[in-house]
Amino acid sequence: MTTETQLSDPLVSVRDAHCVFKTDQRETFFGPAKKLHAVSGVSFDILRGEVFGVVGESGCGKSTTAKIILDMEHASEGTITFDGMPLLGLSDTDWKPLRRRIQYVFQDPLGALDPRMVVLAQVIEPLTIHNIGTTEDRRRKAGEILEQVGLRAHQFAKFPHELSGGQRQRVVLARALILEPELLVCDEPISALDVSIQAQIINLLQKLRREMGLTILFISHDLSVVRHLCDRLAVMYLGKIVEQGPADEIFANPCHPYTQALISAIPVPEPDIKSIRISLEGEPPSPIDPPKGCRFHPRCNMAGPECSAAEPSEMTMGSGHIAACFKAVPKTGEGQL
Amino acid sequence: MTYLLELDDMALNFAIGALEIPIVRGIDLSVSKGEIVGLVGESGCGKSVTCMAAMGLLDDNAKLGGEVRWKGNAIEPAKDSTMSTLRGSEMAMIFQDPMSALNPVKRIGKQLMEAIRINSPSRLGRAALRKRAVELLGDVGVPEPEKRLSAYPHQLSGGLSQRVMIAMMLAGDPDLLIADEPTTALDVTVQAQIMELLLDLRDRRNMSVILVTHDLGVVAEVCDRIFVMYCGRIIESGSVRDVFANPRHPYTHGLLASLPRVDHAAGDLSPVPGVVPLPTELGLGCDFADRCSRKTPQCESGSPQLTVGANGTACSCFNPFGQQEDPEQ
Repeated sequence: MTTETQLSDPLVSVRDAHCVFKTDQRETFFGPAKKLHAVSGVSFDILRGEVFGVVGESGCGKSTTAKIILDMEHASEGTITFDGMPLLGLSDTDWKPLRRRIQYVFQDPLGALDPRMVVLAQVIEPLTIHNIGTTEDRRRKAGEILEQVGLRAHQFAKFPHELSGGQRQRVVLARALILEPELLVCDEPISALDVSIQAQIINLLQKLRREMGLTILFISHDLSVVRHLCDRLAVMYLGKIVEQGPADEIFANPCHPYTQALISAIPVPEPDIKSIRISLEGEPPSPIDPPKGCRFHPRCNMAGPECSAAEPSEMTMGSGHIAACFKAVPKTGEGQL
Repeated sequence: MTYLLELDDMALNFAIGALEIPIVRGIDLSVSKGEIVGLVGESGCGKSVTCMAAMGLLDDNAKLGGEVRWKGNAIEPAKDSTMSTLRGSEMAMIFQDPMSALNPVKRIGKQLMEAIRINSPSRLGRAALRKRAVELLGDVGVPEPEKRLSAYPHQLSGGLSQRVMIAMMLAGDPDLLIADEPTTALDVTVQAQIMELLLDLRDRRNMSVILVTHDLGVVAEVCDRIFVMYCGRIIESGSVRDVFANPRHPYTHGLLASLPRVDHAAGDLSPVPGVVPLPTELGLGCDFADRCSRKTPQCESGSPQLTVGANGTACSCFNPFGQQEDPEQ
């Protein structure tokens, strides 16, 4: 592997993970239920102290990828290790101490909070569940962490409906961080917020990461946010990672045609820059019957005969930068040209 | 010059019980023929209700003030008799969530043909209706339009449903389209397709568009002029090029500075501090004063008026960023 991985060891390591759901659709009337491959064979490492981004359009399997790490969905194949410990097949009792070390932040903060509990009580609850400290300690610690995420003391006794969207997301972050987790999984944490509030939460995440030495898995459909926050990222399409590598490298030199199209589709707030758009035809096909060969070939403007015949394997494009495409060309001077 | 649609000092109060809450507080907005105008603001600033009011889609508890003019003539959007002749054939609206705008238990073809029948001056036969429906679907780039007519809305993806909504809107061949966050529920690659379609419709039919959105990137790409709303008022307006190059109001300036951008490398963003005040919390002073970095004592006591500058840009601020001043400093 690259020198990067030798320097800092991975906190989470996912190898060839699959996640399959049964659907209501059947092949024939009495036939077996059709299967939906939400995640089909993804491999990546999340290094200690980094922000790892997973991006893609809706339905590409990015949330499911995060959920199989926490066993919220069951991976049917593959291996997942956390801090060297295999995670698949652990019992609920084995999971409990691990839950403290991995926390999850959802997209909709109002749905994630208990509507009938005041802010302070919500943040104390994880400590009670994990039986940490005395009542007095818990109260003090919850107050500290709430201040750290930018809430003031007069807001501690409020109910979630009395807070704004950004404040609610701060409460959710405080509740996740009070257990001092090593890994924070953020699933579209700012998509439901207004533009000016999004920037506040992005800055808060960057601050917390510096102060607490967090490792963050950041799921998003918004490439501009990912660009700001992430050290490395993976681009997903129909359950597969099509490209991954250092964020700067991917934005400077996107190798997979899907990544190129995705980056060019983002509107830039500058009227004089008219981006050269690589437009994609149609929309992602259903993951129930994914296309044969490369999953992207029906929408790809570079597709050739080999693309519909076989699935491309991952190829090295540069240092730590891999893309799964027959047509991808490694950067000159690096890789194996 | 006569504008297509003109809102002149339009105000909206919502009666809730005995209370009357001001939601839109005197805005001037205009669209001319073939122009795409962006109406931008954060949730709750009143951009959607402004459009709903202009279309006459609000309930009886909304009290409309000021004047709405259509092609130079004052109209009363709250009156059904005037609006039924305008809606569909003169102005039409599409919404954020195409899935809930379509009837889930009727086939696409039936819904589309209904829109064509209502808007057609003469009685059309079944075959003619069907032919026109296929034409319209083809026009908005729906693949295999013949086949789609028999599909139900749940069988279509988000992007296709929005195209069907646009096709229904085109049935009346309106002069103005009001698009309320038409791409917010869609993926970026699909958003790009829908935006291209809107630009294409403007070029082919000389249609005007009011695009309501919170995405400044979208505005920069497709709009000619921009109106920025905050707390029910327009705080800055002008040509897209001028406003993006020289944002004068601290709010517009803050919004642009807080955007993470795909063409810039990582770093800390400069967000607008605080939150949008509620309509019931507004005081005498400038609505933005509590969040503003350029606040002066004057801002606490009085509300600034929208004043028009040299190049046609308007801004309501006592202490705006200057034309020559570098906004980064």
